[in-house]
Amino acid sequence: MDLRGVRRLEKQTLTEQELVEGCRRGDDVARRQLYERYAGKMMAICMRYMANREEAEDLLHDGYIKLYGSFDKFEWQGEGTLPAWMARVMANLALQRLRKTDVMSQTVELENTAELRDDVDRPDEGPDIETIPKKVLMQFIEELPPGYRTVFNMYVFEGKNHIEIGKELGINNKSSASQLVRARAILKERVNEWRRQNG
Amino acid sequence: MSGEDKMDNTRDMKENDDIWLKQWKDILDDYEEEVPVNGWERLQADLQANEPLKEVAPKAKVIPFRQWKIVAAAAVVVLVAGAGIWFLVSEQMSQVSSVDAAIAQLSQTDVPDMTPLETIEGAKDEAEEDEISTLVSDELSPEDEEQAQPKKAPAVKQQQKTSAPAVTATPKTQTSSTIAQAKVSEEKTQETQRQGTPIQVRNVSKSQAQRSTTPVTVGGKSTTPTEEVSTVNKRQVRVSTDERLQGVTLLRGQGNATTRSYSEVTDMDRVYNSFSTHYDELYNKSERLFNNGTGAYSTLDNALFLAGLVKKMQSQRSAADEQLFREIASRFVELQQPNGLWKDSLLDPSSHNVDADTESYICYALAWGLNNGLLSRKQYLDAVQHAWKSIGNCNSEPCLMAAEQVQKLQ
Repeated sequence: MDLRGVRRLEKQTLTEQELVEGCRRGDDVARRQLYERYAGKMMAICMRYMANREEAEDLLHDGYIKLYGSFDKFEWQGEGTLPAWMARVMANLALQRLRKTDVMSQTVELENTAELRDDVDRPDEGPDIETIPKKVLMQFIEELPPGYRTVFNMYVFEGKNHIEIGKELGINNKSSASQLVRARAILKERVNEWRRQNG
Repeated sequence: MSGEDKMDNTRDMKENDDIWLKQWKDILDDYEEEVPVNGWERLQADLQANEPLKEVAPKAKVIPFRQWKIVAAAAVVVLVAGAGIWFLVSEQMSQVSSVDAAIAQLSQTDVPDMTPLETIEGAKDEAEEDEISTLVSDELSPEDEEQAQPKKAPAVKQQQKTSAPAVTATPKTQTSSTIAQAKVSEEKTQETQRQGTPIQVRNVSKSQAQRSTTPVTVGGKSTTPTEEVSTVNKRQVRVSTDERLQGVTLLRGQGNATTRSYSEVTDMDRVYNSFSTHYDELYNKSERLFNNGTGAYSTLDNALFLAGLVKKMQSQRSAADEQLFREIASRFVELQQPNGLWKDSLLDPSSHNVDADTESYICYALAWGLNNGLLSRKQYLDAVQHAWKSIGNCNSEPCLMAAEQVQKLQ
C-alpha cells in the first residue's frame, strides 16, 4: 500500500483537466507535466514556423511562459482542447515574431526572383508522401523561403483561408494564394527529388 | 506550355492539391520535435524570477497564498474608504429624505386646495408633467442618475398620488389664483431646466408643493421657502458628488502606492545602488558595461542599472551620471541584434533573447534619454522603436514605464 502510494506520487499523471486547473493555480507539478507532455509537439510547431533551432527554442520557452500566464483566459471544453489551444497560442506567438522580423517583405524580394516550378509531369496529384520520414518532410517545410513557409503553415496547419492570412500578414489575399502555390510547387519538387534518390 | 496555362492548371487542380496538402497536415500533426536541453529547468527558473512581477501585472489573476495578506490589507482599505463614503452619502440622503418628508407633509395637507389647477389646466399640467419626466429621464447623466434614483422615485410617485385624487375630489375654487399659480409652475419648470440635473428631481416635488401651498399663502411669497429648499439640495448634491470623486481618487491613489512598493522599482534601486557602490570593481570601461561580479554581463542587470540611473537623474543630474548613461546606452545600441532584441548575456551571442521586461527597461531608459536630450534622435530613435516593436502584450510595470516614455517620442 505504502509503496503504491509513493509510486503514485512520483509518477502521477494528471488528466488534461487537472493540468488546466493546476496550471491556473500556478502549481509547479502541473506546469512541469504540461511542459513534458506537449513540449515535443509545441517544438514541432516552433520549428515549422521559425525554421531555425535556436529561434524555435526561444519561441518554445517564451510560448510556455505565455501559456502559463494565460490559463485564466482558457476554458477547457473537453479532451484535446488543451493541446489545440496551446498550439494556437504558439502559432500566434510565432506569427507575432515573424511579423516583427518583417518576414513578408523578405518574401516579396524572393517572389520576384523565384521561379514558378510547378511540376510539369503530373500536376493533377501530388507525389506520395506517406513513405517519406516525417523528419524529412519537416525539413522540406523548414527549407521553404520564410514567406512561403508562413503562408503554408497558416493555410495547411491552422486551416486559415487566404483572406484571413492576408489580413494577418498584411498582404494581399492573392499574394497569399500565389505564395501557397509556390510553396506547394517547391515541396512537390523536393518530394520527387527525394523519391528519385531513395528509390 | 506558357506560365499562364500552368497557373490555370494549378487552379483547376486545386482540389486535388488540397487533398495533398491535407496529407501533410495529417502526417505531421502529431509530429514531435526534439525538445531543448533543460527546457523545463530554464522555464522554472524564469517563472520563479517573474513570479512577483506577474502578481504586479494588472492582468495577473494567480494569487499565491502568501499574497493574501496584501489582498486582505487592500480589502480593508477599500472597506474603510467605502464605509466613509457610504456614511457621507447616507447622511446627505437622510437630510434629503427629511426634506422630502416635509414636502410630502405640505402637499398632503394642502391637497384639497390645489385642485383647480388640475381640472382647469389639466391638459397643460399633463403636458408639464410629461415635460418634467422627459427632463428627468433625458438629462440625468448616469452618475447623477445613480445619485438621484432614490430621491426621484418617491418624488414622482408622490406627485402622482397627490394629483390623482385631487382631480376627482375637489371643487373648482380660486380660478384666478390657480392660473397665476400655473404660470409660476411653468416658470419653475423653466428654472428647473436651467438648474443642474440632480435638482430637477427636487423641483418636480417642489413645484408640486408650491402649487398646493400658493392658494393658501396667496401670490408668489411662498416661493421663498421652496427656493431655499432647492438651494440647500443643490449644495448637498454638489458636495456629495465632489466627495465621492475625492473618495475614488483617494482609493486610486492608495492603490497605486501599494502597487508601486512591490514593483521592480525596488529592483532598479537595488541594482543601481549596488553597482554604483562597487563602480570601480564592476564597471568595465572598455566594454562600457557592468558585470555582476561573476564576470557575466547580464542584460537585465545593466538594464536595471540604466533604469535606476534614470530614476536618480530625475531627481538629481550630474555630468558624470550623464556621461555614464550615454556610455552604457551607446553600448546597448551596439549590441542590439538585427531582430531588435538583446541577448540575455550581452556579450554572449549564444545566449537566449531577453524577456520582455528586460527589453522594457532598456526601452524605458533609452526613450527617457531621448526625451530628455541626453541621446541623439538620429542615433537612437530607430533602435528604441525597433526594440519597442518586439514587445508584445504590455501589462507589466516596466513595460508600462517604457510605454509612457515611448509615447512621448512622437
